[in-house]
Amino acid sequence: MTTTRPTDAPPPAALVVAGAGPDRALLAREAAGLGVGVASFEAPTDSPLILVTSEVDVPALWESLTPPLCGLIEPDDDGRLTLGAPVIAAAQRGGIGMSLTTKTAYRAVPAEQLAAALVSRQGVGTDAEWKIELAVQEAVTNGLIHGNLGIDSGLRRSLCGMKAFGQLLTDRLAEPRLAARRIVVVAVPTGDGIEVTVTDEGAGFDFAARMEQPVEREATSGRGLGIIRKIARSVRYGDGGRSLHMLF
Amino acid sequence: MELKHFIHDGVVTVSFTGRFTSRDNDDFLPVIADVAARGGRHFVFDFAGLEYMDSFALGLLLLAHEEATKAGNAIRVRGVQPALHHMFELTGMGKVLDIEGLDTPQSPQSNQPRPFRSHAAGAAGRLAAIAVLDGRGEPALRLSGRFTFADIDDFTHSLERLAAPSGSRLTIDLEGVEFMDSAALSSILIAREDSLTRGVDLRLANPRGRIRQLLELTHVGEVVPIDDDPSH
Repeated sequence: MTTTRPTDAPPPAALVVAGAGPDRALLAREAAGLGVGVASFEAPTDSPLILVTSEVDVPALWESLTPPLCGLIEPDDDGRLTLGAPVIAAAQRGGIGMSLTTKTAYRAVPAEQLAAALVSRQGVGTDAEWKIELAVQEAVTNGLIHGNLGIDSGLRRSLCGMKAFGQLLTDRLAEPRLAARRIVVVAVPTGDGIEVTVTDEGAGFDFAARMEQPVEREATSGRGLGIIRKIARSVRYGDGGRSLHMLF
Repeated sequence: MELKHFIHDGVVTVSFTGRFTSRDNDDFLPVIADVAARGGRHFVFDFAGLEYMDSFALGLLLLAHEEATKAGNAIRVRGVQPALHHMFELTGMGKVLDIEGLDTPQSPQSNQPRPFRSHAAGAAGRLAAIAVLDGRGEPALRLSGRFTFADIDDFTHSLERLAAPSGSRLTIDLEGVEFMDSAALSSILIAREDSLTRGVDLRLANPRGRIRQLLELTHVGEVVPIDDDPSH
C-alpha cells in the first residue's frame, strides 16, 4: 500500500454547515468547545473542513470525504456535536473521519464510503481497499449491533434466531436513546500505512476473551473479529472495549 | 407503490406511482420476470408518478435492466421527476439505463449492467434477490449488490418464499454480489444447515473475485459446496 503524507501539518480544522444543522450561536459554542473555528463554503480557507449536517445520506457522506471536506459530524437532535473531537483530531493529522448516529450509520454504509475515499485521497490500492472496507464493515457492525444496540450475537445460530435478530434490530433502531448513540470512524495516515479506528458508545466489548477464541469454519457467528485479525496488519483495542484500532 | 401495465403497439408500459422502496420487492419481481421472459420486446418504465426511490429500488431496477439485456429486450425509463433526476445522475445510473432526459448509454460496453457501487457517486446498493429456476429446473436465488447484516432479513424471507421442496438442489448464485460481510456468510451457513434438515441441498454458485477470496479466507468454501457455471 502506498500513502501520501502532507509535507506540512495542516492548519487547524474548521466546521462548515450545510443543510439542516445547529443554529449559528450553538454551532459557535460547540466549535469553541472543540477548539476549532467555523468556516463557510463561500470564503476560501486552507483549513481542513468538517461538514456538520443533519441530512446525512450516502451522497452527503461521500461529499464530506471529498476535498476540501475531510469528515462529517452529525449533530444530536439538540444540536450538540457529540464525539466530534476524534474526527477533528483525524482531520488535523491529514486523515478523514465521521461521527454518526447509529440510525444513520445503519443506512449510510460508512465502510464503503471510507474505503473509497482512501483510494482517491491516499492512493490505497484495490486489494487494500477491499481489506479496509471489509474490516471497517465488521468493526462498524460490531459497534452498532453488539455495542450501541446491545444485541447478543448468540441469536444468529438458527433460521429462527436470524428472524428474531432481524426483528430485534428493527425494534432497537426504533428506540430513540439507542438510535442516537454514536459510531465514530476515523482513518489517519501513519507514514507507512493507515490506521482506522472505530468507536461506539456501548457497554464495551470483551476483545481479550474473544481474541483468544479460535473461529471454527462452521461457526455461524463470531467471525467478524477473526476476519479483521486476518486482514489487518495489527489490531488493538481501547476505551474499555469501545474502540478498535486497525492498522493497514 | 402502485404498478400498472399497458400494452400498445407491442410496447409494454409499466407505470410507477408513489414511493419505490425495498417494501416493493415482491410486487416488482413479476416485472423482472416479465422483462426476462419476452425476447426482442420494448418496455417503457413510466416514472411520471414516482416520488421517491431508495437504493434497494435502484438495485431492483438494475436487475430488471440486466435481465432484459440478457433476454434481448430494451427498457426505456421516461417521465423521471427532477428530484429523482438528481439521484440518477449521482449514482451514474443514467449511463447504464436508457433514461429520457439523461445521458444515454454510449457504447455496447457502457450498456452492460454496472456494479451497484459507484465510488464517484458514493452510491450504496443493498442486496437484491430474485428467485429463478436454473438450467436444470431447480430453484435458485440470484443475489446482487451488497450483502451485509442489514440484508439478512431480506435474504431469509427470499429463501422462505422460494420454498424449495425436499430432495431439490437450491443454488444461491453470488455472481452479482459485490461485497459481503461475516454476518452474510453466517446467514448462508445457517440457511444451509436449515435446508439440510429439510432434505434440500443448498449450494453456492459463481462467487467472483473478492467474494471468492472471502469464502477462502473464512474457509466457508470448505463447508458449503460451490458450483461454477462454466459459461460465467
